[in-house]
Amino acid sequence: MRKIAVFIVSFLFFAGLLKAADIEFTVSAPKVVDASEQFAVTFSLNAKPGKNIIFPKFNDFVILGGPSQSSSSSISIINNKVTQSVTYAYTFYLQPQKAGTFSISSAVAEVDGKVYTSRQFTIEVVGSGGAAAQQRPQQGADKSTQAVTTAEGDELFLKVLVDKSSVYAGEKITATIKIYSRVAIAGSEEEKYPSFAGFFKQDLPTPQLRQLERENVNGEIWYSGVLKRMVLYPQKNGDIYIDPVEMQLVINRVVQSARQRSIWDEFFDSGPSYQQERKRIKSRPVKIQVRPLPANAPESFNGAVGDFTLIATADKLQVKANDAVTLHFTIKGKGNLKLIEAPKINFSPDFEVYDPKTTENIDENTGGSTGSRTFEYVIIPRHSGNYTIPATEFSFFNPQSGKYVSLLSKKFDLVVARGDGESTAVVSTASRDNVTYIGKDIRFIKTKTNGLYRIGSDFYGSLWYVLSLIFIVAVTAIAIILGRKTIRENANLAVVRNKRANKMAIRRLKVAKQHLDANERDRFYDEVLKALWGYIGDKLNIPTSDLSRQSAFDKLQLYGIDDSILQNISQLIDNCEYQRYAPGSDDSQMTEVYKQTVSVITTLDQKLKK
Amino acid sequence: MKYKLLFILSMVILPFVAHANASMEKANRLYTEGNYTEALQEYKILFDAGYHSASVYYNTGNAYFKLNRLPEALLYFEKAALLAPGDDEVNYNLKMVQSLTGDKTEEIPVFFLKRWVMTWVHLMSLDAWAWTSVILFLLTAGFLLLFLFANTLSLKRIALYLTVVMLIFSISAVVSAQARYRLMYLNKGVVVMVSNVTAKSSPAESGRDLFVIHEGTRADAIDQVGEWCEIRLLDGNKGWIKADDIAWIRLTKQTK
Repeated sequence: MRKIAVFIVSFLFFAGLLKAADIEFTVSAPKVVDASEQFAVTFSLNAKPGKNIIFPKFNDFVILGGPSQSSSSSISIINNKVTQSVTYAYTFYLQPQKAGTFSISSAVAEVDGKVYTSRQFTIEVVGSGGAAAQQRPQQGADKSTQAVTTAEGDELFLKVLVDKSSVYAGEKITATIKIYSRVAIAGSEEEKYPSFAGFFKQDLPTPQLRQLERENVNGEIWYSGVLKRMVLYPQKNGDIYIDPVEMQLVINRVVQSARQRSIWDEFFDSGPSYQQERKRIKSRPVKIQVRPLPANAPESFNGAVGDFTLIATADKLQVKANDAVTLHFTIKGKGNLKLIEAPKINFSPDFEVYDPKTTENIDENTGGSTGSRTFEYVIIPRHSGNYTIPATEFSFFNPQSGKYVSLLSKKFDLVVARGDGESTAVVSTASRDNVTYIGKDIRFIKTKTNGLYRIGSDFYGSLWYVLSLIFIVAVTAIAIILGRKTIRENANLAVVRNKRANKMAIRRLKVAKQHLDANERDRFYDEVLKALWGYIGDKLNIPTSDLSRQSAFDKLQLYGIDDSILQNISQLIDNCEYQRYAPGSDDSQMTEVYKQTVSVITTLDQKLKK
Repeated sequence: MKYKLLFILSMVILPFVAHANASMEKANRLYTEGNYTEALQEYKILFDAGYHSASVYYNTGNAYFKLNRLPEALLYFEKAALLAPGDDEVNYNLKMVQSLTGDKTEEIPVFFLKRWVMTWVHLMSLDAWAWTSVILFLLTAGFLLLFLFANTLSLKRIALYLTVVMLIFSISAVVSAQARYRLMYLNKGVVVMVSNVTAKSSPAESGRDLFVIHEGTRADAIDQVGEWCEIRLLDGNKGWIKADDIAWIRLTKQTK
């Protein structure tokens, strides 16, 4: 009694501190029920309703009970802020009459003069109803006492759902991996996803699975939830399989009590008791038929599948040489955007082109990749002139139409003015084009060690060289001089004779000596006389016809020969003549005569030296 | 008399030459074993001692090449080519290094007369020209004497003609020798040795930048002011660069 009083007092006390929250009138009901199932529909209002609430008519259902009313309130004080929330709940217990989908209209409530309605909703009723129908897993089942482990597929399975199973290569497929269960799941211990070989996969953001929801599968009610969502682009032709997904789960199995349930047990039953069990489940592989793209692909086709548009822009079209120009190529649309490569643009060789930069703005949703991919080209013209960046083609395959589509960007006319004088690149940097020699090696060293000589010791320019030239000149000069002299002297016969004189005299004396040795008296004296007269005649250049003792001696005197010598000569000649022509033989004097002759000639030679 | 002296001189020099030969053999052996740096040191010893030959320059170039010092390799191959312009191996290696280093410039085609003269001058080595000139001079003298002292008129005429011809030949031989000499010792050719250098319009840092050239580029040094050199590239462009950045091809007693 007192408790209730306290409750009412505190309730009223805080009534003044009531902070009005947004008023909501909600309804909660299962989406799918079995035909034989009894279920509850609850209407909740978070404020005290004014008058009576008008509830919808549950025409297709049997109202087992209700509305039963309950209310709850809670107070929270956070940061000196007091918030009170209150809930008024009205619950109906229903049972379906037949199978089908039925809609329930909204309920109407009034709070402080304002009218609030709950939402309209549908309930799907499946099954035939009747006795041996499935119960909700949470309730105790009146089956056999032992817990039966039914086959996997009957209470727990994984399913991979695809929106399309026959596509073109590169066409997007959305895959959803769901888990279906008719038992209570405590948790998962292992999740193994396949490799998706043959696909390019993009995971879609999926909220973490918290609660399983009811779903009608072939006339049966299952509790299902989405584990993962992804977009797949097949990269191969032919049949590709999505390999099974594996999971290991822990389930709570309802344990039947061994003994018979009495009325008391039912009354005091706090619910069924559970036992944990491990189960391993695997999805079935899913076959995807991938059709190859048709053969007549345009040249610029590079694997883009979907539906796109192309926009090309250039940041400036009038530049100076060596200024950078930026081109943007944007491909916008839906499809395998991430796999699209930069289109190849045919730039003039006078441009220095840098590798294009890619930026993307892609939104992954179940519609596939939507968004845009932009390629940025930076080019630098190195010379002045008028250039054209040609229109560039981008092709893609539209799976919807089954045709290839080619888009053409517009062309750009670029005017490049002469750059500033600074950068006169007269010579290009290294790295020559002539690659012929790379791979070969240089020839080996020369191993002969001869040929070494001192630097500067060349013959040319050396002293010897100059000397040898001078030598030649000198020798030639001397030769000329001497030669001239000889000629001159040869021209003078007299000199010739003079020179000859000695020669002749010597020769004759030699012969005389021979005769002397051979004791040929006559011949000896002959020869001696010849030598004497010959010498005098040659030396004095007296012609033989004029040659006499008188002429000879006259000339000798002219040359300053003493009389005494002349007398000697005279005597010698007389002696020789006498010996020559006189009879008898006196050989003893021959040697003496010879000696005298030699002495005379020698003396004359000395005296007559010019 | 001259030959006796020469003989004595050579006897004095011979021991030194033998020593030099041994040094070169050692260097070659080091090269064959792959010790290129040590081989270079041996070659340097030869240069410092004042010895050189086309083979030594060529081998030095090879050693530098193996050590991947391409500008030096180019320099020494060019030096070798000064002494042995017709040598196949020298020319092959020279072409190979030229293709791997230096800037590619359009070469101005050489005036055809100049080309002929160059071919003529390179027909013989320097000393061969010198000896040739001596012999021709001797012949000139001989024919002169013949002319002066011949007895018959016809002989005199032939001798006069031959004298003049021989004189011309001997003079051209001397001139060729001189040209060869200048090419070897007074060559203007240079090789850029630093990785890159900017040529300016005047011999000062403040000069305007004209062009950039890189190591291994061949040029001719046509003027020098202080520490700056005016160079002319093979395509005719001229500019001033620091003398420290280049190396001369001409043969000198000093080694780099």
